Amino acid sequence: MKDFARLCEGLRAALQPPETALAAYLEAAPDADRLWALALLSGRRPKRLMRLAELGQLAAEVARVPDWLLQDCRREVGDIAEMAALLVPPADLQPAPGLSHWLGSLQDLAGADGAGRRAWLTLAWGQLGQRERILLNRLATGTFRQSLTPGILTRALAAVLGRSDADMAQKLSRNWSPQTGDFATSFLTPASVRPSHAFAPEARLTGGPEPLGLAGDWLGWRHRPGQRAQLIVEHSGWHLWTAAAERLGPGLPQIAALADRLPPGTVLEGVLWLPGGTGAVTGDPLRQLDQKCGANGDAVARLDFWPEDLLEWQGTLQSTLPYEARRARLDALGLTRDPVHHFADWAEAQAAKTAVGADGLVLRHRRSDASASTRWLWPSPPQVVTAMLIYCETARAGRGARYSFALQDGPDLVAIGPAPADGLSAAEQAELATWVARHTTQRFGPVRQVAAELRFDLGFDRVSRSGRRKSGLLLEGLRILCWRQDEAALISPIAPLRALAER
Amino acid sequence: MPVLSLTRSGLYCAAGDFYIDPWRKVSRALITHGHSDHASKGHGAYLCTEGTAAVIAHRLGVSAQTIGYGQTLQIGAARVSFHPAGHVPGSAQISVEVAGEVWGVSGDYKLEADGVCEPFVPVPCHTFISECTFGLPIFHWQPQAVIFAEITDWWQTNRAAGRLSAIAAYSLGKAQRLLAGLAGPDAVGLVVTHRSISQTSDILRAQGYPLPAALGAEAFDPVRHAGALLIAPPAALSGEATPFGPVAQAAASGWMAMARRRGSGQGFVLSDHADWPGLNRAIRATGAERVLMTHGYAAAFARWLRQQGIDADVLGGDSDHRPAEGE
Repeated sequence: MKDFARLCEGLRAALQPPETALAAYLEAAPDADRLWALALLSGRRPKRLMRLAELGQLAAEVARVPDWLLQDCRREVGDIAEMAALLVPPADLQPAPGLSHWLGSLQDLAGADGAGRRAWLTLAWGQLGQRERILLNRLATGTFRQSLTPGILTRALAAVLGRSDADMAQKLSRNWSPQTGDFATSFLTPASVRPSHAFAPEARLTGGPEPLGLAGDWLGWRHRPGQRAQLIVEHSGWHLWTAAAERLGPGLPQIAALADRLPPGTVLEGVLWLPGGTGAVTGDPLRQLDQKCGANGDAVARLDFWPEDLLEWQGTLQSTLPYEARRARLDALGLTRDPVHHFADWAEAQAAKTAVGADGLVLRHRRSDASASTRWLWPSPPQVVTAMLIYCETARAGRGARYSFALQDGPDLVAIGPAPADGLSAAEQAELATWVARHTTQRFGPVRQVAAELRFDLGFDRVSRSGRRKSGLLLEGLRILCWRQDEAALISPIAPLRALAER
Repeated sequence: MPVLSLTRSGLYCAAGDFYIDPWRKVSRALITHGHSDHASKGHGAYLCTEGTAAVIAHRLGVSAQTIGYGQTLQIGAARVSFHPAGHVPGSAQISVEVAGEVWGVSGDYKLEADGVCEPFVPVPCHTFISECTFGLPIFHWQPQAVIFAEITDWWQTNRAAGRLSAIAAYSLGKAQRLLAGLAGPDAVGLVVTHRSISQTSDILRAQGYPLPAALGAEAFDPVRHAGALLIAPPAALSGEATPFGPVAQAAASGWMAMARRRGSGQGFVLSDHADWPGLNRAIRATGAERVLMTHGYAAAFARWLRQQGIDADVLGGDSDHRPAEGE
């Protein structure tokens, strides 16, 4: 209980990357606690024992505090679960049982009456330290809301158990629960779902394509902004692995229709994306999809998979053939959507890139194998705006500082979102951090509002409408290009971007 | 005529024509302890304990007449005596007797003996003016041994990771309490103190307070002294970066009991003020018929005492808005 409470606090404070913190906890915890920790952090929470207000009243009774004083305490602490933990005098601490014990008891109390529940909680408070009390209060009132993404859970669990990410992702995505199974049957059984092949490394061309060698050795096609994924079709059905080792299963009609056309023993690699959607499905597709479903409802129906490589065909490995041959086969099967371009020279390639517009080209060597040689992205030059720095989210473990910018909207500035500081030199980043520390006007947790003085040129790849953003726009691939030291630089108006997004 | 009354300059005794911890210039000031919200510059004459006199000589550049704990001094028609408050080294409660009526002024106080300052003793009085910085029932302190064990754990973890540990603590009181609890022969590693703390510690050592030695921050070398513990005033640690390489920061204060005050940082709940049970115990021990509350949650605490059958009020209504130091 103590260790899990510490983990939760550590995750909130973000002093180390979440997978490191979780792995350290899992390493030391007994199986029963591991199972509950994973359950709680993946959103599998116990039923509420009592309402939060009732719990506050109970703490006041135990501490013999009148109602008006309880209200004072509540105002001061701001959080009832925490206030109740502080109000009850500290216990003489003995080694308390672990997380699974408390959650087991919470389950057992489902049938108890109000008095029984209150008596149990009072007794529990007498055995727990402040931090653990707060955790128990949140669990008992259904107000425990911490969670980690499937990717983080997967990586931490895989690291601790020495298993593959794919295996753990599949097991985590199954229907498991601490009420119905133990840790061993949930996570330690042999892998049952076919893992993906290794994904070819991806890189972005920063200058021209000339360093790649002869244009004639390369094939190109329009880049589609989305998550790379592999579609695996077997006798028993189909599933998708994303490059982030997340498994997507049935229930995606577009992809199911594609899988139905393929013989068992087929593995395709391609891009998972929402044609005409509000932006790319990147990073954490399921999560994004959930959010998007909330917004427009049909994202699941529209999510599509556009193949670009053939790794296995009817049970035969294709991935060691030259890419040219794999692609030809894929094209012959009618599985590709964007035409593949052949280039006599780089000028021709440049022309092809210009023709596809903002998306840019993907380049693969004709003779490259499936997993070792690089998949190059040759981006179109970004669109550029000059924006005002308005917020800074300070650097944390595992992530650099992020800066938020604004454009001119009539007489006002309107926020267009955050960009990583990668485009600045180390010296500029240090200078900027010092400036931010001196010009903070207000703080919101890790986010500082700064005086609107500094101007930056920002690049972005695409702009689309987004109702969830203040500006009404989503600027994809927003990045800092340079720090405009000339104070007279005009902030770009947002109106042209709005017009662009309408198109 | 009450023995003490709250004026624009501070708490005033008409019978002896003196003030206790005044915040405007007065002719005669009795000082409970050296924190800046209690001891200020520019008064005509000062009276305090020896420990406090040494501190304010350094901080304010003033010289004070001193008085021993338990000694009595006649000032005009008032008899005053100073008694240990257990807040910081040299801190005192002040007892004022006029024509047989005794008023006690607590200054800041805590009940737990911290091994550095003179331990608190209750002083019987008719009217008790008590601070209540932590006067809500959410404040319960753990014995300091428990907190020192927590800090030691944290320090050891940082040491193992090759990080410097830095604790923010006020340079008078909290810093010496940490020093006494964490440095010395059984220490996990080297303790380093910021200049302002080293100076205050030296002054207190000269007064006979038993404080273990610490390395001055001027002599600190991040490579040679990797994994040390730095004690520094909050202002010295408030910036984004310290000049000491990778640092794990924490604060030691009673306010660290609340997540809202801790923010995302590490906090240790170590206070030099009385907690809720401590305030209740101290007030009862004085046997006072009337209690006046000042600092912090004064109104709530006075209402609570009235419900317990004690005649209690807020000192001077709600006009007491001085900022507090020392927590």
